[in-house]
Amino acid sequence: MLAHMIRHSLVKSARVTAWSLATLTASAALATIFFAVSIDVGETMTRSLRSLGANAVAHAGQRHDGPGAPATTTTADWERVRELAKARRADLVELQLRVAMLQGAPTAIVTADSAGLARMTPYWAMNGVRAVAEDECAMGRKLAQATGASIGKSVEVHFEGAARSERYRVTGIFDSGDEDEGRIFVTRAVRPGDARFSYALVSVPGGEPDIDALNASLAAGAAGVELTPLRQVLHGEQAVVGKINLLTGITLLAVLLLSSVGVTAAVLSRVIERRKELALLQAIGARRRSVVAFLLSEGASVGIAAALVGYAVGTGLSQVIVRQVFGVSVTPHVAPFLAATVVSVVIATLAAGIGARRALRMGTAVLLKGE
Amino acid sequence: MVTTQAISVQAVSKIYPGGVHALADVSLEVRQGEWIAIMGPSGSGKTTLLSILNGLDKPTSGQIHVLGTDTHGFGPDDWAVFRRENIGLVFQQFHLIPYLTAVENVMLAQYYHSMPVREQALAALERVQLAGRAHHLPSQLSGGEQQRVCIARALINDPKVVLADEPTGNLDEENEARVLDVFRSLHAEGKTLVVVTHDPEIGCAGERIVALSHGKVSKDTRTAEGERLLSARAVTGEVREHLR
Repeated sequence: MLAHMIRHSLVKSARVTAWSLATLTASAALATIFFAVSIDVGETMTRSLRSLGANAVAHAGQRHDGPGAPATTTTADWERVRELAKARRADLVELQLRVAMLQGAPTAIVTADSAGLARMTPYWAMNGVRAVAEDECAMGRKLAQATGASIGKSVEVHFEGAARSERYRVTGIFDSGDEDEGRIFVTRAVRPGDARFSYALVSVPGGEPDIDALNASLAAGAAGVELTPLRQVLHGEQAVVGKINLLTGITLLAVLLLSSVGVTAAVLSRVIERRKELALLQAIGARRRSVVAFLLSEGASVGIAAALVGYAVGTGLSQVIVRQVFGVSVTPHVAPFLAATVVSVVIATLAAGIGARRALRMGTAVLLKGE
Repeated sequence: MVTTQAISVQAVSKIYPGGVHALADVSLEVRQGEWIAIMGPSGSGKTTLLSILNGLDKPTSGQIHVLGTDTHGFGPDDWAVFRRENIGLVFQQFHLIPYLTAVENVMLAQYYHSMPVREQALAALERVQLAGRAHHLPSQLSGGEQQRVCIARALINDPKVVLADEPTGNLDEENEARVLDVFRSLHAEGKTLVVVTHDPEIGCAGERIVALSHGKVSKDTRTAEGERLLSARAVTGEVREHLR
């Protein structure tokens, strides 16, 4: 009987029902988009943010050969490291760090693949261009200032034990905000015999847990290296993701608030239209809680219908949005559906609850008076 | 204690906000099975009295007993339960749910009482000669038919008391006669009827006419029908006494 009444009363107030349904559907769709993007795109966003460069450094580890034995540095098996990193979809660029004398002062000279280095350090603020040829170098700003080097000029470095000095033309001077500002980066190929990499910059998809996982995998694989997260970068990424989520969340809340106001206004207008009907229910024996239950069930019915439609619409829209922005598709999840259902049912029942409260305040006798 | 009073109203007053005295110290007794008409000009307090008797409104002071139950301290839910068990309400404006058919409107009263049984609802409509219109919406029924649906709804839970507010106020003569017939049969069954009316014909059909004026009982007279029934009851009483 109740279901029959709800169905017919919703059909009878088609205009108000349609308005409530449309508003709630929009809310449910937005909630679906928000949760779908938060859940499914989290990883995609992190992967996109990985284009910002390395988030960990791999370097030779420490080994203890027995209790009380001094720690010795392990020998890194870079082939193995590359293999294990690849298995976890991590990008890795090995670097060779040597010390040479520049203007009488010991200076770090880092040799790396040019393209790889560019991938790992996109955040460098480069004045000029990166070094590409073997006789070119990029120099950190602090070192450039200390040595008076400038773009286009050459610098001469001397490696201990080498027969002669090496000359590099400075193509760019960069700010990195870290110790690299005191180094020279060259792209010369590592020669046989000095092919021992010192460390590697690693870009691991995900956050710290993923770096820990790769570290564990490197340890298990006896690759001889340890990973150290670049916490500043990681925290920066997390802050970006957090801010995006916060912004989306605030927008969602604002929309939900507006939609609540819209639905409540619609429900209240319907309650006022139907005040005689609700008074009649009490007159023929309905308790107040039965009237409330009737209105809440009516609200919840609209809410559930809106959740179903909203979820479908929201999933479709999130597919389009995510494909446009991230170039990937969204996998349907239960959580966005639950979110859509909760959002629309809660708004609808809250509005119905306010309506019921208003309805029960009206004087039954006055409403049913036959004048 | 078995009471013969269906309704007992003791010194009931109703003052609306703003100081309007709708009822002033009204006292009234209605026997079980009695049919009384409450009459009076507009604003005399007839409908207010009926609303207080059915619990849709509260008196400012005074006591109401219905079927021996002291209703003092009844809340809206107590009244709702009491009404659905004991009182049938008939309204001048019918107050049918517009999106439910005639039979569904009757079943609605069953739903809040116990459980809806379509056959019983159809039988109630049959009683008011509306079985053929059971599946019509109120908008498809005439005023008289709607009022008979309202009466069927009031009777579906077999109430002991029927309270009617201007039941023929919106009806033509033919439908008024039909409604009157239904009331007569209810009276014959022993139901207590309190009917608020402007219509002298309806008033005279009952046993007593209680006239209200400015919120007070100005006259409480027995009708010809009332006198006849009183005599008949007296004779029946004498016969019973004699047989003892």
